[in-house]
Amino acid sequence: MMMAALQAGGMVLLTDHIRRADENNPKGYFEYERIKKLPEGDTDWLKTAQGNAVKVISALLEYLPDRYRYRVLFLERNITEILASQKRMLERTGIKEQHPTSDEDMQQALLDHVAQVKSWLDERDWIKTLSVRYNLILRNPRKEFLKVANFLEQPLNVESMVEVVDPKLYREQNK
Amino acid sequence: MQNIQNKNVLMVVLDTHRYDRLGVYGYNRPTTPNLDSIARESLFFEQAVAPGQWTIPSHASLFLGEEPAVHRTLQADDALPKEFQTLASRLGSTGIQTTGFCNNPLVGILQNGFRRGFDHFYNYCGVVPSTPQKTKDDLWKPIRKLWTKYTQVLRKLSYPIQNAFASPNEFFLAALRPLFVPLWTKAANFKGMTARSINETAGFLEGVERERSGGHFVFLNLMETHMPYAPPDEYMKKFVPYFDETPEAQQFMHAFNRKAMQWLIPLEKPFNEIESATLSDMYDAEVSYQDHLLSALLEKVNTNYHRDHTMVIFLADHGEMLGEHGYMGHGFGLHEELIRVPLFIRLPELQEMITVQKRVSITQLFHTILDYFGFETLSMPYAEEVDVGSQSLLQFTAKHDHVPNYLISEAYPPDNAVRIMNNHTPELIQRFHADRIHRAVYHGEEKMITIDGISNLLFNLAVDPAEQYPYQNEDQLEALAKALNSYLELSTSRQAYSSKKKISLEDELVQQRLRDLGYLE
Repeated sequence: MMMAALQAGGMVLLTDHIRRADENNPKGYFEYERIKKLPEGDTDWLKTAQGNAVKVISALLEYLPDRYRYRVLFLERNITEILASQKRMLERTGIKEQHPTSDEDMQQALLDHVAQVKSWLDERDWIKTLSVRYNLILRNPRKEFLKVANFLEQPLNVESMVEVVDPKLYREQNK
Repeated sequence: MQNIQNKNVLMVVLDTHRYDRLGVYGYNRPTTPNLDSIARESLFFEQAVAPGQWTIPSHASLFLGEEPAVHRTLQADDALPKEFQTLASRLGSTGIQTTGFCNNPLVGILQNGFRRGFDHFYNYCGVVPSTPQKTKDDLWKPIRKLWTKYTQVLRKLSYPIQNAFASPNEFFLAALRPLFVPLWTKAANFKGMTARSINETAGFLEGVERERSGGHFVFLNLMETHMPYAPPDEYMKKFVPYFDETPEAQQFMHAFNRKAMQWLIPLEKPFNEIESATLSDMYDAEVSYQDHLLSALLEKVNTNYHRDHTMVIFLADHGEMLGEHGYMGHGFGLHEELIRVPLFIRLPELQEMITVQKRVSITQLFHTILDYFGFETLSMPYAEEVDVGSQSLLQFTAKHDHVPNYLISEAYPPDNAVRIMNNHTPELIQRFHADRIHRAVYHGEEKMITIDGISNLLFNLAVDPAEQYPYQNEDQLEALAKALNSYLELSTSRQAYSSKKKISLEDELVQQRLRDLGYLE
């Protein structure tokens, strides 16, 4: 949702459209495959990516080279919702987990991971971070996207960003 | 939910701080003029009790709002149960920014979940602290950058090693040898950096005021009054004036500060008069030094903005035994020196000091902070809706409730300390029943200390505040035992929702899941 909102607001996205929209993510993934090669040192693409938005999963943040400056929108969501969403994705795609893990263990591992990544981000002076919470966007998208625009120091069209948020999602969450 | 944007909370944990060393609690030495002054504008709790005797269970209760028998985070290598949402997570889910400044390695370093939910958590202790970064462009920037890179590598290497010390293993036992103690107490910042953490917290609050940003929860943990004791000369001269001319006092402190083993276990023989006085006075000097450093923070919270918008809480997670009843440190026992703690809350709307005599638990601060931010009910693993107001300490601003309540504190034996005794002084285990759970049950002035299946000691704190003379009253003992049984039954039913978990780094699980989902190669 954030990538779609940024695009609607006028931000240029760095995405290759290789992973196409599907049942799990009907609005698309907005991914850039070369991100996965970061651990191997594939960072040349960053030269031309300045000023663009790119989606990076938290586990790969540590491979971003420190010769550039980054503004990270750290997207947070209730862990149980993340787990449920991941399980749905695995079920729909029919992928069998290599090492099946109980929900409890995975929940704890994710919580620890998030705490470690946040602590890592705090220690980097070349990265500025804004935590953005999914449920707050659903509750008050205008306020949250204004924060995002201020943080990015970009003249984003906040009203267009708000239109990306499906109000049904908010209602569903509050059922 | 009320308008959280106009509200902030600063919670300061004075780690290992005895209540009876503050002037406002009746101490006759000028140790704490700064803390006394803010306490005299606060909702002041005369008889606050910690739920456990040391950092781990006590902080777990503060962060989860549950008693140790429920959360079972009792040992240095236990992690918070994942089923219970932390205070910081609950606050964060409503948009409140949560920031921690921490000097205690058990809270700031170990991968035990205590930092879960904090937006930012700065750690001033350990081999490589992680403190707020300076971002200004100046000549030092390239050097800072190099230093940051160097510390990242060191920190990555140090975390697994530091976690290893949390278990009762050979690492831990080796570290306690006098030869190594100066290494981890000084080089590894065991007590953190009190002055720097206070100043940076003050700076943070100044920023909140400048930006009128509101909606902040700030946690600060201070360790200055923890062992070892090495206060600055000025405070030594004031509180230990005989030290320079008393070789016995000097030798005793030199040995004490190196014998970390002695900090953790009961005494083999009582201290003599000089040893006892020196230790107590050194502790006072540390208390006074920390109080002096706190003036920088109090200056910031005393501005008009923070007086109107910020609830300021001071508390201790536990006290300290300095030889009383044969105990040293905070590993064992449940005497008043250890579990009765300072607690006061300065509220924006409060015009004058309100003294609360009813006994309360610091666990209730969890509900108090949520109440302040407008939470009315909470969903817990064992109940869909738990009332916040009935546990909140804010109710005492309007209510003068003197009806005695039952209150329980528990001391589960720390595995690390029991292991030391097993190796070095096994006779102490038997003498102090150090391998058993001790529990204290309060009702009015009555206090029962019960040692699992062995003894029940009853004290009347009004006539015997030093707990020297246990007495017999079968009816009282029966009533207190009944209250304890109810507590344990309730805890057991709630405990069923809480899985006990040891510290581990399970990042591999996350990596594997991300690979399965196609996010990693």
